[in-house]
Amino acid sequence: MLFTYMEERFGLARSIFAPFILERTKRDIWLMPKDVFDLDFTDFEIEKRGLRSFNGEKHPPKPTSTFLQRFGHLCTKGRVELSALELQSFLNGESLIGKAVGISQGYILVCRHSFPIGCGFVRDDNIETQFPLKTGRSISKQYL
Amino acid sequence: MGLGFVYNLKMARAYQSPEYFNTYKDFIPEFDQFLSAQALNPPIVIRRNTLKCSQDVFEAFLDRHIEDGAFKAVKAIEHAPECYEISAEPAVLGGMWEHHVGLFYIMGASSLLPVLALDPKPGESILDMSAAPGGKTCLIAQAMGDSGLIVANEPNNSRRRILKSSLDRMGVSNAFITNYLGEEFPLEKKFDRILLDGPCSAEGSLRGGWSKSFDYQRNDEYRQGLQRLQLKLLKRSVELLKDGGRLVYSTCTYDPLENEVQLDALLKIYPNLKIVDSNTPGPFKSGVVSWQGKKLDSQVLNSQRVYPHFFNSWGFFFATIIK
Repeated sequence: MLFTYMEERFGLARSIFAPFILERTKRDIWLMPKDVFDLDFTDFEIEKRGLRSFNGEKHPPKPTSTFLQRFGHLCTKGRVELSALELQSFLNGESLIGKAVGISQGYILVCRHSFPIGCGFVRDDNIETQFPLKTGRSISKQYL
Repeated sequence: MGLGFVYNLKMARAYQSPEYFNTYKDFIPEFDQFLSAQALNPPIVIRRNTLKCSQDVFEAFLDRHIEDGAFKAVKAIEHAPECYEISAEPAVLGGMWEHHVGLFYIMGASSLLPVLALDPKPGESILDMSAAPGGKTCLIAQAMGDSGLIVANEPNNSRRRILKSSLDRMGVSNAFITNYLGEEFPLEKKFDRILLDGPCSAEGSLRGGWSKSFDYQRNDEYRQGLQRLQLKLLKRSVELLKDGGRLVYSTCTYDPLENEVQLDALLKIYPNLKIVDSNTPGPFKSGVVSWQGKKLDSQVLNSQRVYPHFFNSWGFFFATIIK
């Protein structure tokens, strides 16, 4: 169902995720290669496994910025390119007013120079940042 | 406590350089050039994250920042695939959005060498015994390409946080993070390959200057403790390795007591181990075969020493062991 959503919203072909498996924890959904389970490590105390890919508390689950940075280059839709000034606002946690005219409400991939930066949310033609604010603030605004 | 402090200060003085490195004069070739190189800061090097970034996108990134003045020059590094020397302020690189979204990793070029020697393959099980800060784990993940499993172990809490952050930023999907003491890592499973980039006195990373903390931390007592730990980690790594598996031992120090002498001790415990050629061409030197009057197992000749006057990066040591 999650992969169907990603295909419909972002144009991410299901076949991309054929080698992977999703594992749900209390709050999040993690992505890892299927073959990690061939190497049975169940007896180990594992602190973190795989790539945190979705926040499972949201409906539909919100793709994490780390997931989009990793697979966003394969998105054929649901992506928007930002200028330097727009990226600065996005990283500062500000909404991008009127940047998503004609795009339906939901999550969107935000890019700069065609490279995936992270996740935004479209509401009423605007893009609200979903990018981790702490990371956004630690990025220099000098060479955007 | 007072006496102990005075004692430690006395021990520390012996390591104030450049005199300290004279201990290595007999085996480091072109020693004066070594001292000159050691006194300079190493270049800033970045490596493309092949999990996220194509060569085209990366080249566009380099071109863009040459154009906007962030980078004064960019140079590909021989013997270190995908690595580029960047002339720029370190703070500029670390603050770039491209860094924060994992398009590249800032590293020493010599850090790549143990991973090249490990030669990880898709579908394998690999243990990175002392994984933080995670640069080598990310390189292993790139070589495996979302297949197989890396167990990235790091017992230190604050360093493990950095490891997690590095793996997230680089988009690594096939790593499990554990927090065992390496020497007590559970023996239930055997691994195809193990990287032991062990704790060490880090002489090779001490380029460009000296600090009091360096001198203080590298007293004899501290170093002997490190050496005991290194051998314990090596023994555990051998126990955790499949028959025919590949273990790479690396340090960023020049001290033979932490390098060849440890390998010699390991070969005495496990005589069936073989130290083999790492198949990493470059201007690197063979390991030393005798130290402090003691002749070492001739197989240590297959280990590799990286000196900054031959390869402009951190000083390094690495060896490939087959079980």
